[in-house]
Amino acid sequence: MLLSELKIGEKAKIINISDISGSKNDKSDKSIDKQRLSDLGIIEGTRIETLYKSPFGNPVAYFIRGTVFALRNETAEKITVEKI
Amino acid sequence: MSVKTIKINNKNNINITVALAGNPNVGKSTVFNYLTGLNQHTGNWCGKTVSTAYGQYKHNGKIYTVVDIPGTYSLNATSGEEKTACDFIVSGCPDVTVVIADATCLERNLNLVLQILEVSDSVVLCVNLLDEAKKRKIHIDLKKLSELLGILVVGTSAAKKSGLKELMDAITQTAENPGIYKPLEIMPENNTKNFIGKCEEIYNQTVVCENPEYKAKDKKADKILTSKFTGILIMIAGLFGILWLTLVGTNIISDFLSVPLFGAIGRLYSFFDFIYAPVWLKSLIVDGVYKTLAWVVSVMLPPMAVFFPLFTLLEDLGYLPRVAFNLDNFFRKADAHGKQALTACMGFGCNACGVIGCRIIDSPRERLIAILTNNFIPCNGRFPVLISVTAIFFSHGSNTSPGSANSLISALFLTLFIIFSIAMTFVVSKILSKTILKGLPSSFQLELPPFRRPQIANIIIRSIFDRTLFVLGRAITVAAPAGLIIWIMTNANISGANLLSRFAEFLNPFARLMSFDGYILLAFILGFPANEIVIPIILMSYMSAQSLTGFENLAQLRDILINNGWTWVTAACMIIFTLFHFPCGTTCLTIKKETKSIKWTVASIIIPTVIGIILCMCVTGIANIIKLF
Ligand SMILES: Nc1nc2c(ncn2[C@@H]2O[C@H](COP(=O)(O)OP(=O)(O)O)[C@@H](O)[C@H]2O)c(=O)[nH]1
Ligand SMILES: [Mg+2]
Repeated sequence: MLLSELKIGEKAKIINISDISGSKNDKSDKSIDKQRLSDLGIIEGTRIETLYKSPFGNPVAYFIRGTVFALRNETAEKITVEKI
Repeated sequence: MSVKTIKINNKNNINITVALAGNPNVGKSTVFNYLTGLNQHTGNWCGKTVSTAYGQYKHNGKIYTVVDIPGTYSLNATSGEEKTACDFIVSGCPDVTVVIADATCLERNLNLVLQILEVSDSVVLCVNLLDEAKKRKIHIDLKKLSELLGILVVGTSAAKKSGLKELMDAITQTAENPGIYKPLEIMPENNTKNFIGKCEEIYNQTVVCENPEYKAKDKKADKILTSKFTGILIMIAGLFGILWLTLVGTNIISDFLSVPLFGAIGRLYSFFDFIYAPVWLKSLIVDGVYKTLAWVVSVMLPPMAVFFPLFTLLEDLGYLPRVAFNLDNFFRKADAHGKQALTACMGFGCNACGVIGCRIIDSPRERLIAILTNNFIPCNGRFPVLISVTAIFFSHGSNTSPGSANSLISALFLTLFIIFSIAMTFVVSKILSKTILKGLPSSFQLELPPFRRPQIANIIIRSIFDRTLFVLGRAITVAAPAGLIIWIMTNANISGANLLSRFAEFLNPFARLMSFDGYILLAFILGFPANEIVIPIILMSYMSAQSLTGFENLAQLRDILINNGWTWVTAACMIIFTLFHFPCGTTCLTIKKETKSIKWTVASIIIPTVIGIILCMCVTGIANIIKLF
C-alpha cells in the first residue's frame, strides 16, 4: 500500500520510494527528492507512523526516527509501505 | 536579526576557526551566543539561521573565531541556505568542526556526523539538549559514542548553560592535536551518500530509549493545534490576542512616552534662544528634525515593544511550524512552497528579514514567489498606521484602554485586515504561478520540532535589544533626514506657496481617485526609506499650516485628521494602501541582493502598488455610488 493510504495511528515499514521528479519546469534536480528523503533518514526499511493530519487533510505529519516530519500527499503517494 | 560580523584574522597564527555545524534547530545559535556573547537569532523552528555569523572567544590564552552556519541535514544539499553550510564545512577549512546534535533524535543527527568525519579530521561532537533527552528518558552513553566514532564527544544543555566549559576544552584539545583522534572509516551505503544503516547501528549501541513512541503530551497538543476545527480557531484567536495585547499595550506605553518627548520641545526652544541661535536653525532642528523623531519614537516604539516579545515567545515555543502545517493546504493550492508560511510570518517582524528568510525555500520558482509576496504581510513599521487608523475610524471613539469594548472592536478589525492581507498573499501567489512564474509545487519536508519551554528572560532581552532597538534605530536614522526635508519643503516658497503644498497639489487629482489628498500620497512616497515615517509626515504636513505642537493621545490625532477632511473612506483606503504598496527601501535593496535581478525587484515594487491603487479606486467608486442613493 502507499504511505498516503495509511490511517492515523498506523505504523508501517517503507519498502520502496520511487523517484519523485520535481515540477516540469524545474529541470535542475529531477530525482533530488529521493536523496532529500534519504538525508532525513527516510529510506527503504525505515519504520514510519502516521501521527495526524493538517486541518485540510494535506499535508500529514509522520513520526520517523524520533522526529516529526510533515509530508504533502503528493510525496506520500510515491512511497510504498507495508503495514506492521 | 542584526548579524554582527567580525572579520577572521588570518594573519594571526593563534586564531583558531571553529565551525558550528549540525541539523537545523539543534541549538547551534544558542551555543554560538554562549561562546561569543553575541545575540544571534534563535527560535524553535527550522530555518531561522540562513546566513553565517562570526564571533570570537578566548580560552587558555588563544583566540577562537566561531562560525555559526545554517543548519543542514546532510552534506548533499545543492541549493539554498543548506548549500552555504555544506560549502563552508567542505571548503571553508575550519580548524575544528563542532557538530552539534540533538540528543532526542540522535540517530538522524549521526548521518551528518559521519559525513563530516569523511571530509574533516578535526571534529568534536556536541550532544546538545541533554535536558530534553533526560525528560524523555533517553539515556546516551557518551563514552561509548566517543569510542565508536573516534572523536571527543561532549554532552551539553546549551539553554541551561551546562557542559559548555567542557565543550571549550574539547575544542582546544582537538585543535592542539590535529589528527590525534582517528575517526573510524566507513563507506557510504549504496550510492545514497548517506550512512543511515551505520547510524542505526551506532544508535543501537549507545542509546537506550525507555519509550520510543512520540511523546504523548506533544501528540495531544499537536492534535488540538492542528485539527480541522480547533487548529484554525486557535490560530485566528492567537492572532486576535496578539493584536489586542499590542493595541492595549501601545496605548499605555504611548501615554508614558509622549509626555516627556513632547514636553522637551519647550526646553529645546529655550536652549536655542539661550545660545542665540538663528530662528531658522531653531525651527529646523526642533520643528523639523526633533518633532519628526519624537513622532516616530512615540508612535512606533510602543507596538514593537509589545509585539516583538509576543512573537518571539511563539517562535521559541515552536508554534510557527504548526502555522506552516495548518496553512500549507492554501500554499499548495497556490502552487507555492509550504515553507512560505514561515517566511511570511517573519515578514510580520520585518519584510527585509522575511525576504532573506526565503533562502529556506530551495526551488528557485517558489522562492521568487515567496520573495515577491512577502511585502503583502504588514511589517511592524506599518502596524502603527493600522493601529491608529483602526482605533480612530473603525471603533467608536479613540479610547483603547484595556478591557474597553473599543479595544476589542479595533483588534477584531485589525485581525480582519491581516487575514485579508494573508488571503491576498495566496491569490497573488496563485496568479504568479499561473503567469510569470509557471510551474508545479515541488515536494517538501517540514520538520515539526517538539514544543520547548520558552526562555522568558532571553526572549525579553533579545526582542528588545536585538529587534526593537535595531528597527527603531533604523527608523530614527531615516526619520531625522526626512524631518529635515519636510521642514525645508514647508519653508521653501515658490511663488507664494510652499514646496510641500506644490507637490501635494500636483498629486492631488490622482490622490482623489483613491480618496486621498496629495499630502497622504506624498507621505507614502517620502516614506519609501521606512514605512514608520508615513504617519509622522502626514501630520507634519497638516500641522505646518497650523501651529499644533504636541501629541497627547489618539483623540487629538483624530481631530487633526478629521479637520483635514478624512472620512471613513479615506481611512479604509489608507489601510488598504498601507497593506499593499511598494516595499520599503531596505526591503527593495534586500530583494535586489537576494534575487540578483533588477527585473524582479521592479516586479516586487509594481505588483503590490498596482493592486493597492486598484483596490483603493474600487473602494472610492463604491463609496461614491453609495453616496448617490
Ligand atoms: N531545553 C533546551 N532547549 C534548547 C537547548 N539548546 C537550544 N535550545 C532551544 O532550541 C531552540 C533552537 O535553538 P537554536 O540555537 O536557534 O538552534 P539552531 O537552529 O541550531 O541554531 C531554541 O528555542 C533554543 O532556546 C538545550 O540545551 N535545552
Ligand atoms: Mg541557528
